[in-house]
Amino acid sequence: MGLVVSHRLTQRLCALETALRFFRALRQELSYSMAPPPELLRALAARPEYAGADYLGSALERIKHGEAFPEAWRAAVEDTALPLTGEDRMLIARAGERLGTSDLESQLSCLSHDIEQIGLTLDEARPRQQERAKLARTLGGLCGAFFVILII
Amino acid sequence: MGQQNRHALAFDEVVSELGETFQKRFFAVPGPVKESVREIRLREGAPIKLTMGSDARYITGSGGLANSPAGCPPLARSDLETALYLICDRAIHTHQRELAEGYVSLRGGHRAGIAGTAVYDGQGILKSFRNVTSIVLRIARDFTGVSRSSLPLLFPDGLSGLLLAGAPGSGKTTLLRDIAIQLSSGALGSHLNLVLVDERGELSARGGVSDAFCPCDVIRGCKKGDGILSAVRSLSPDAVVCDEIGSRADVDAVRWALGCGVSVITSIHASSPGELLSRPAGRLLLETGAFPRAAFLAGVGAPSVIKEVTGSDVLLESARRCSDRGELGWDGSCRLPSADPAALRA
Repeated sequence: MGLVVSHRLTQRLCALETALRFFRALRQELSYSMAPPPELLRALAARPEYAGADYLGSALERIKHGEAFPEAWRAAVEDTALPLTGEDRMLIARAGERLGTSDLESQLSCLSHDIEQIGLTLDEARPRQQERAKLARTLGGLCGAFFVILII
Repeated sequence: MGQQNRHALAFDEVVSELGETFQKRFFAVPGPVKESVREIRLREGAPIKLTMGSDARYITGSGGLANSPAGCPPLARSDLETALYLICDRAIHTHQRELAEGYVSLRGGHRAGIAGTAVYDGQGILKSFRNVTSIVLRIARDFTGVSRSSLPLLFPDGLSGLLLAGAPGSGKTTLLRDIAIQLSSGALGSHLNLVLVDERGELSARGGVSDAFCPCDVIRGCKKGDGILSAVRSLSPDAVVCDEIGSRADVDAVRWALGCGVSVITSIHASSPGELLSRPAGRLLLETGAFPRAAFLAGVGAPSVIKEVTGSDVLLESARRCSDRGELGWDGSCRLPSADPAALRA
């Protein structure tokens, strides 16, 4: 169980790192192409480095079925199977939802702010993840040893 | 599909860009009214106004029509913000360049004019509009064949350059579009290669016609001068067609196209020969030699109807005589005989 908890914490970190890379690429793509949000998403979602971000494909599916981008994005992020906290989901949802709602400069500025926020979340999460993972593994091991002793 | 059906479809096409909430307000507009609406005007603090020529109707709270705005529900600022967001297809940044020029091109060749507070950048260049207080939706209509009867008058010696002059709303774009379609389809005896330089997305689209086929090459979203140069360099056109030419760069591009043996068919804002000659761009265009003749449209009351066709040499000669006498503009003394007006109507 300790290993499972530790693994989930590691997965959360990976998910946040993927999100950070995605939004950085999105910012670049947006400033270069000024394409509408669905087109931006289509251009980036297919890249293998974002394969772990299941909400990208899910958002695209929803858009294909006629859902508007902001609603599709939010729903996809909220429904993701990734072990993201409520706050993580809110951050990622907000960053995507704002696309298309203002001129380029404002959007790039908002995206930069959201990227910074995700970066800060990651910076807080990394040391905590290491401590908790270690603790989880240690506790898990101790629990396991306790049950073995009980059985014996 | 009848023309009237297509006009009603064009109305529905424009309204669908505004989203479901807005669409519900128009549900009770009868078909005959839809067919004649030319503009839908959205204004903060005022009810939705439908303009039909010189006539107007206002949308009531129950989705019906009233002859006066009294008692009709006014639009809020948030309604306009939502409308703008939706007509930009939920991607305002994608339409940034258009917004800086005060419009947004819609599907089907329709256009939304924007009014609000201007936003300038550090260099004093108009960037966009904020606090949008008015959106004017101009409904494009398809009048296939409107130019057919005029072609012998406009091109008596085969393909050549042509300058269409008319007041705003006189049907210049509609006529240009149809001329392009007719010439590409063999109206002058052979299927000509025409390139449309469609800066605003109006020239190549045919409002209300979902199966529209444009038999020309189209360069979209490009400035006219750049488009003309690009077309001549890479698309081997017999003629380039563009709308509302007027800048110095455009005139230079026309001169260059002429030098490459490519005809230019275009329009300019001018309701009379005098107005055309008094505009610096008008005179420069005529002096390029690219336009053997200029056609003047009748006006808003009779859209796409040609009132008179005059040789450019005649216009310039008259302008020179006026200039020698110290007068500006057109003295009307050397007008060529026009065709029977009845024969010019579609």
